[in-house]
Amino acid sequence: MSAVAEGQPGALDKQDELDALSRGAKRRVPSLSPTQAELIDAAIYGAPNAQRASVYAFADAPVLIDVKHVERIYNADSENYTHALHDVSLQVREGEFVSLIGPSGCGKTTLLRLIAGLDFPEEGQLTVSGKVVAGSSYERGYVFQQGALYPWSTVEGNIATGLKARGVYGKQKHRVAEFIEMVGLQGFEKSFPHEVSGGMAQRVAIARALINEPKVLLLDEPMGALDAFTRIELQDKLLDLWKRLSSTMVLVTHDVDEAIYLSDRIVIMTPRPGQISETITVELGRPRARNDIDFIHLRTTILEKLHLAGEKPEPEFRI
Amino acid sequence: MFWKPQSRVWYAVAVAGFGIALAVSFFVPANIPGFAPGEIHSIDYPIDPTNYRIVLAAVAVVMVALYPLSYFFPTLRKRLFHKAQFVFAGALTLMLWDLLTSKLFVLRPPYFPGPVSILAYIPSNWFNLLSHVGASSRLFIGGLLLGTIAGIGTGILIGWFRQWFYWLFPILKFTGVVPATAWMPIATVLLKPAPVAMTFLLVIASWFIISFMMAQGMESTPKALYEVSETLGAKRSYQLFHVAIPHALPSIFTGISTATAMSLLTLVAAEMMGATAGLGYFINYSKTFNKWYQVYAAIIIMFIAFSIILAVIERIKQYALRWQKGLVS
Ligand SMILES: Nc1ncnc2c1ncn2[C@@H]1O[C@H](COP(=O)(O)OP(=O)(O)OP(=O)(O)O)[C@@H](O)[C@H]1O
Ligand SMILES: [Mg+2]
Repeated sequence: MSAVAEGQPGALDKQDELDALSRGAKRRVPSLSPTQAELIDAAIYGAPNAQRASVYAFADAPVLIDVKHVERIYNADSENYTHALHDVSLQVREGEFVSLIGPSGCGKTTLLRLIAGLDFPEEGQLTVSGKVVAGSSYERGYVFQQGALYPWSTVEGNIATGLKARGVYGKQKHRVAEFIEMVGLQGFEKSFPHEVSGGMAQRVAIARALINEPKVLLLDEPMGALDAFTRIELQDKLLDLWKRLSSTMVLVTHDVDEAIYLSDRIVIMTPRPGQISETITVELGRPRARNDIDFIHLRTTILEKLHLAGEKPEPEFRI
Repeated sequence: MFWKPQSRVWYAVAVAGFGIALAVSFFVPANIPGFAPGEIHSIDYPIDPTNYRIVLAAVAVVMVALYPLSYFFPTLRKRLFHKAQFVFAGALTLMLWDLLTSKLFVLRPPYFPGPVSILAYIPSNWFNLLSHVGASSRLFIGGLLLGTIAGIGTGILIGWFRQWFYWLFPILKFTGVVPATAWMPIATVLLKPAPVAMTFLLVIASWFIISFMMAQGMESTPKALYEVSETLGAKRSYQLFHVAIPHALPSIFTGISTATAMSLLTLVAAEMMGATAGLGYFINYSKTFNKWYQVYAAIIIMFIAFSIILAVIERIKQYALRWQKGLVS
């Protein structure tokens, strides 16, 4: 096919273009007309002559999470210490959906745990709503990678945990059913975690974290262990919840598509020591189409950046 | 899994087995021998075969009656056929036992009473036996219950508070290493009346293992489960009762199972040595009077009574751990 492209420039149709990109071709494919390229640039980078309005709507929203020059060193006083985070600064604005992406071991989980207050930095400061993070709080919901559901408790019981733990279950009982419905688990209220599918279990974990209506929901690879179909389904569910509850979300993911599909901004991290290398604003209108040309260009850009950052694009990132 | 669930032949053979055993009881003459001089024996044992025959006939009749019924209940049918070979073997064993004892006197009384003697004895003394079963059960249930409560209590203290761990754990380890029966002389002298001493021994027997398993189950709770509750607004006390203790539940039941076995052991040993009632006492008492058929009867009744107790504990466990159903095989 590429032979045809070389012989007859401009003869490529959109599908071939997509193929080329997914093979990891450079963004400036010869077949692309200058105007097309400009359009894409505009969409991705918000170029001054953008023909498309910026869709990043949070520029003026108040800062919710403020991470300032944070250092985190595991086993700092031992010889085999790990410098997990170095000079990490990040601001997340109210209502925003931010994804953290980066190779394994670059400190994504560490950063998320610091924000949650489950762990503390050696240096630097984290504030949420202007208050220094001094421990965990129900205002910062956390979804663990494997869900970490209570195996002895039913779906209903797991989701109700937050209300019970805060002692408001008596008054707010009705919200359990509400959240069960919101994540589409009607009929499974009395099931135990091992009796529902992986995707359902993650929905339970998300509902459980959301029932306290936290200011921010922190998600650590909530869809990592799911198959592609379930993952896409759950992504839509998550977006739906994000809109409905107008909450702020910070998501850790390995999946570039997932990050682009969901986020307003994507934070790219690099390892050894973990640092933020770049923050990309996703200026794509919602709902987003995964086969949209802008989407695909953005994916290629991010994969290139990750590649530079040390991550070899794995086959799963391709179409 | 069922063993030969389709085979009607073995079912028929099993019924026939009881018929044969019955025939042996009726038609083989009892060849009562003379005893050698100096041989210990007692003619004071029941030899009326009526009860034995009734039991054999009853089993056969029930089996025959169940057969047409099994056409309407497929699982019952499978179960019956599954057990057929075993039941047949049971019939043969009874027949052989009867032959070797009451009939041919190859195995001699008083040490080897036949099924005839045992079955003649049990119904005629059921009230006496029942009172011993009651005494044993009361002690056992009381002791295990107290031991379990104490074990769970100290287990929680050890598993949750460092200070308690520091002080209690060494004591616990000491009582765990020393078998409960070693305390028997001290307990019987210091604690009166006897049931109090025995209960104490049973508590000692069950306390350590339950406490240990409780603490271990709590300590092995994954950190993530605590962290989840933390991010949901849980306080320490909530984590104790809704994370650590539920997580320890399977482990507690492992402890209770072990404690049950140890308690039964201690119970019978203690009853044999320092009691005036209970199946252990009854066995010992029967032995001194050379009434070995009573010893065997007591063992059979012990089997039935303890099986019922174990089944009840198993039921409670299955209810408490129903969330594990299908999670572990
Ligand atoms: N509790 C800990 N003790 C010591 N080192 C740790 C601990 N947790 C993480 N690390 C180290 O810190 C670094 C960052 O870990 P982190 O879990 O944040 O990475 P990650 O980006 O989430 O990786 P992944 O994508 O594989 O989940 C790693 O090198 C890891 O080995
Ligand atoms: Mg991680």
